[in-house]
Amino acid sequence: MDKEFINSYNDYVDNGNAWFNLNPLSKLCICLCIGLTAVVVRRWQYGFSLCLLYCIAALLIGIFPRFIKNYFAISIILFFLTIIVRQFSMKEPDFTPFINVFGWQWYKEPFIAALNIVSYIMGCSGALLIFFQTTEMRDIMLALENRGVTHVASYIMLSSMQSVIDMRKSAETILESQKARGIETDGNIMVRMKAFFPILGPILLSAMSGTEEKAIAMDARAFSHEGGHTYLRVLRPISKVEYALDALAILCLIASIVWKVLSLTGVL
Amino acid sequence: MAFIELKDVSYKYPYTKDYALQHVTCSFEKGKFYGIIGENGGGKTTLCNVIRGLIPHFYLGKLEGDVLVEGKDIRDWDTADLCSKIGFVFQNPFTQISGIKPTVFEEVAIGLENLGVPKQEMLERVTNVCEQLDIGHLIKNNPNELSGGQRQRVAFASIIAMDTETLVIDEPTSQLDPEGTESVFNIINTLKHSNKTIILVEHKIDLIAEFCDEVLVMENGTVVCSGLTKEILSQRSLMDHNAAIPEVAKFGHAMADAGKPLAEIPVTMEEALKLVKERSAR
Repeated sequence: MDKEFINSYNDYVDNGNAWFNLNPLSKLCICLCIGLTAVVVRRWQYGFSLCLLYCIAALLIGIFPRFIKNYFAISIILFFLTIIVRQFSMKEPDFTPFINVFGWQWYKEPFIAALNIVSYIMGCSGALLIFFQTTEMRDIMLALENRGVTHVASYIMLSSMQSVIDMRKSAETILESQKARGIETDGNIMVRMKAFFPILGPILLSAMSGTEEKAIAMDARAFSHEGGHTYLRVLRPISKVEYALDALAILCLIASIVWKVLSLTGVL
Repeated sequence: MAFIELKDVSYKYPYTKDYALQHVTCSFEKGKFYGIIGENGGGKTTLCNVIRGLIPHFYLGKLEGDVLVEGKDIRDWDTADLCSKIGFVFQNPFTQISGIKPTVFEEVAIGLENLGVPKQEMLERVTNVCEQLDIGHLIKNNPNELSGGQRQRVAFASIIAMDTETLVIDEPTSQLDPEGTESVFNIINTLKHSNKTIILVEHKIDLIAEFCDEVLVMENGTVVCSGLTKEILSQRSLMDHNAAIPEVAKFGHAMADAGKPLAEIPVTMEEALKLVKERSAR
């Protein structure tokens, strides 16, 4: 038996590096506050600077490949969609011509407005993406349980996520067996839909019938025990540095709100 | 004193007309290994649910008679307290995994976490159980990605780790391949020597004959006979109640029918070999 693995439970949860090891709630606070500053500021210069910062941060904490893959996919779709919608929806005679795309005249003002929207969405979503890519859901729930959330709520959250995976697996199995019986499951979207919709019923029913047995299994594992629970995995306690980082992130958010208010009231 | 006692127990599931259990009276003593056999739909699983307290706490319906665990009525037991007395492993290996733990080691510890067992003790107990059940090589694996047999072993491990005095095991091998079945019966063999009370529902009659001290035979929601394993399983009349008897018992009866009776009707292979040797030596 792997003694090193067993002994790892004697220490606090170690997820690899300093950022990963931050308490999930501290990490959430930092990411949320920084992300929200983008929403408050709503300037493309700030938003895109944050995007660049996220890329550097992703590189430093070792998640750059998967971060950029997801972030890039979101960015491209959002970027073009928003710009096109803005170019169509904002029409004023005094707009400044910007560029001409295959005979379609783009104007500067809608383009800047679109950039501002894209930048704040990207500025906010980038922070959340980093958070979720560096924090396991079970750690989030464990941190919440430590803060008083019931283990029932935690279980519901985690098992719902597992149920989605299980249902996808069982859908794949059913589709494979349908295919083996000669039913067309591959092809255009209509063919796929025709194959997929009839199996939704059985998938949902089997998931529901499994729920009863799962409840019994959990009952046998003392799930309804009212006394205090203990945990095999223990999260690192929140350090002073983490508190300082949280405070700094909150201050950034407050500063951005103050700046926004002052700029809206014409003081700045 | 009997650890679990049922007195004239009848039970009807909600929205059903017929009783699933009818006037069942039986008792289970500490440290003994009981086998429950009988036809499908005979009430074996319902009896397990009553013993485990799922009836009336989980399944509603109409429960009549007395079910006593340590002399206290099952209706008065708190389900959380009951699960630290009676462990329960059932048929489906796929629904017995919590689904929220990423490693087998953590899955085995889930009951102990819920009971609030201190971490060091938890580590020791889980490590010992994993060694005992020979799942040490699986501890880092994701329980959701194991085979049926492996999952059933993990389910056993998580219940055994809770160290309950009694284990109710309902058809643990019904969905397993021969290899999985063998590994589960290796676990049951280990449990037999742990001085726990074990109540096993199983169709594999040869295995019941090998492991159990006493047997209950169920038919149409009633206990049609009960007693020492050898006495019960050697009876040919068992087949009239749609229950099987061991192959070696059939062989013993066939020998008797052929006018070449063995000294007694064997119920295990070991006994049969001994009796045949004795007869040959005569």
